[in-house]
Amino acid sequence: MIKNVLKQMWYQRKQNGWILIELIIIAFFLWRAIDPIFIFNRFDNFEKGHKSERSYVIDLLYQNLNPNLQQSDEAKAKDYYRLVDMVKLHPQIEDVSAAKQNMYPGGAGQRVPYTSKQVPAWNNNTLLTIYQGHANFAQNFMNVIGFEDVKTGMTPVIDTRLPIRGICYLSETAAANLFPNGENPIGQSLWSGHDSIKVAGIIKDVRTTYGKLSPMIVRFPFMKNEYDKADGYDIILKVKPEVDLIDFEKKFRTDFLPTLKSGAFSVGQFESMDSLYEIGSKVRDVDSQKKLRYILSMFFICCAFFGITGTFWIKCNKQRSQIGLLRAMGSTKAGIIKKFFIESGALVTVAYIIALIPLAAIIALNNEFDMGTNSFRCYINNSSPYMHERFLPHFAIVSLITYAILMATAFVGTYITAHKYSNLQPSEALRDE
Amino acid sequence: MIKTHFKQAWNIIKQNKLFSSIYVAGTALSIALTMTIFVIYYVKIAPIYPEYNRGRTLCLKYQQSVVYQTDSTGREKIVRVHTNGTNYSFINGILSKIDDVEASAARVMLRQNITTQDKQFIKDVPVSAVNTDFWKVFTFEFLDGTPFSDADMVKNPKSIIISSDFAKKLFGNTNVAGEWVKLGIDENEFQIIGVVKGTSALTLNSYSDIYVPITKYVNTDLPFTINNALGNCEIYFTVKNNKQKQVIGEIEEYINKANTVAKSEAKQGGINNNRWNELKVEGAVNPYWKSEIVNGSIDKPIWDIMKGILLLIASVLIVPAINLSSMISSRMDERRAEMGIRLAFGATKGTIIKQVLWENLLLTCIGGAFGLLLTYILVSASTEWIFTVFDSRGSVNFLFDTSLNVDMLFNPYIFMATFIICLIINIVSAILPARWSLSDTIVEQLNTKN
Repeated sequence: MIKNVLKQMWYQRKQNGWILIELIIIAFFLWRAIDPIFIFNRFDNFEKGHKSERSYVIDLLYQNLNPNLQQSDEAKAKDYYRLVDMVKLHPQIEDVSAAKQNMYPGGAGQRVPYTSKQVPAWNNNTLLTIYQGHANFAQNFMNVIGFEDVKTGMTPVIDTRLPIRGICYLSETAAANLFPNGENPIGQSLWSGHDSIKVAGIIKDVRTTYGKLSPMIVRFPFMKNEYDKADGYDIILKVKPEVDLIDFEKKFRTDFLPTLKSGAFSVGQFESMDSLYEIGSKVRDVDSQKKLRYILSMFFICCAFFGITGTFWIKCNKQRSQIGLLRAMGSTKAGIIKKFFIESGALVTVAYIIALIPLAAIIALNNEFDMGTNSFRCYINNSSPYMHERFLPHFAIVSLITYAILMATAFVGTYITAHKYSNLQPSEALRDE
Repeated sequence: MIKTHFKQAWNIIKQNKLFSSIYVAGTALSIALTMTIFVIYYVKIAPIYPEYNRGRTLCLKYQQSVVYQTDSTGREKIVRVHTNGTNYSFINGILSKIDDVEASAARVMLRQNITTQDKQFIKDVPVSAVNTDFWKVFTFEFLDGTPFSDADMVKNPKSIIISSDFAKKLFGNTNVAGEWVKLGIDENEFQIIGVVKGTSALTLNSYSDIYVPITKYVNTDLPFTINNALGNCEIYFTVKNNKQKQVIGEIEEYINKANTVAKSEAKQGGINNNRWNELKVEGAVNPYWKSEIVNGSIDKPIWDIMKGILLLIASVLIVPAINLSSMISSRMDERRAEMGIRLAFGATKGTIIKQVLWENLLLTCIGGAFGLLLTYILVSASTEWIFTVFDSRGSVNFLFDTSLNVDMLFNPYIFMATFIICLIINIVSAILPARWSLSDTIVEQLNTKN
């Protein structure tokens, strides 16, 4: 039967050509629409990676409105330190530190290329998202943000005997990227340009506001002239475990923050780290990007459905006499439907295989899965612990999902028309002959 | 003649209901997605209240400053790259000296808590700190009071302007000039001096609930130098008609001169460890439309951004067009005998192709009407997110009121665009099948069994 159906398809190649071209294009674009959904769903499975339920951020404003008063860097630093000390004295606060604006979980972040002896500078995968603490307040930085050691699950304790500005912590993924040969990264050096830094520990991966586990580095440089810039340092704090957070937030906002002023510094905003993360995710439009992909997938599925239904409706209409003959010779309804199923299945399969070739080539050439927007890049890294970053399993799974959806759409479209025409009485179908 | 074609098309629709339904649905889907993309960009780029001057507005939102240093061997190397907003000094130092610049608006957008006289507390209200020219670049309608004057631009300003929507929320009406509110974490008192007709956050460059004089947050007296070129302001300025390129050229010239001065001062004086800043000239100042498309990705050529959008539009047009071509091709096969008779009686191929195009245009236009309806449903149901899906740097629209205005959806440009897309789909999908079906001889066509 299959051989006969394929032979018949070849005879009707002009008519099948249109639907084949359409299916190839649909398969190509449907794959590209489903792939980001798959990646976004993989992101959703990741844990937050740090304990920030009791962590808050005070965003500071530096407003020197007097042009005749030019503050020196030392004077600005003194004003800044005074503010940190004021927060430290608050009885409900456990720890205080300072983080560069946007360079903590929930911030937009910034990525900088780092290299190790094992990974050369030109490799794009060594771009690390920076979480940056102020060197003078580094001791509490890890506790306030709630980073966890990858092995022990405890908050890493910074050894204050080490020169703080020369050490860093790497996330698990960053360590795997920079030391792919399995060498212990702790104590090893990393380079960014001519500056080198030593790895002091490995912490759990942290989900960025883009939803993914970007390779990450925690570092503590000291930049004395950055207090008055828009990208200065925010004060970050952790509230004591026994404190009621709702009550704390309310009183801290209304009673304490209006008094928090020093020199030209005042408070801009005060938010919990988790709510900043939520806002950051929305600003990054993770949900919007997902929704757009769902709409596009639905569009291509509908196109496939209309295309297949239309084509098979016209085919069935043309083959009324053939259906009548088959029915007269004893073919069952199921047999006729099966014939059309084989035909549509074969069309979808051939079109899909053709579409997969350019898809695989584009991904392999670009070395990344196309997310449709630069913000959500997914590079191929075949040694990654995460399946969606490895080419073969990723490509195979998305291909299977897309194929299953296309096949299901094709079968529904075919069934609607084939079922209608298989109900024809032989006499009725052959009357026109 | 056209009337006959439409009559015939209408009869075909009635005879082949399934065919017509699939055709209309396919077209509607294609039109819906294409028009959604069109509406998104229309709202971003076209003149809409209160941004009617978009066509002659230039924007300066993000700037890049590159820090260079000469090393011991005399080589120049990049030490750091800063990307940020613009300093207000850009207006004093450059824009005020260019004759073709009509008005220069500066804005800093913040979120502040406010307290009313009756102790009503509202968190995270969008507040824009703006200068006097803001009201010239963005043509707001004042329902009560007046815009800021130079007298309001003092170091500790006490006056604010609010939107009509916010006025209704706070006081229940819009005649509230003269009322007082407390603003910010330090709860300073401000008097409302004006109420403007509210706008949607989809026009984010001018949207706000509260407008305060920019002098509250920005030092407006600083002179322009390369070292203080970055700041927190977004700058929008209107230029005389057709002078945009000329003005951009003049600005670039000013910046290039300032860059040269900064470099030679650093090299001659050897100050600051032989470090100097260089402000990136190219791509900093953009026409309004380009600024909205680039959306902060100042490193990226506009073609790279447009490529993805054009590919998307092509895919949502091509796929249904092939679908329709396939259906038209099959129907033309069924009508071979009819076409043969018409050719035998002297009709030219051109006449028959024209007839097929007119017939399909009716179906395509019905699909277009349904598609436009679908667009309105899709856009209205998803204003919170759909207008930001092509923004490369994300957006803060979702935090505010993103309601759609009537002129964003119902305007001649949108109807015209829908019709043009219908025409494109119609021609692309019908012309090839019609030509192919007429390639056989009249005898072959008449011999067709039907």
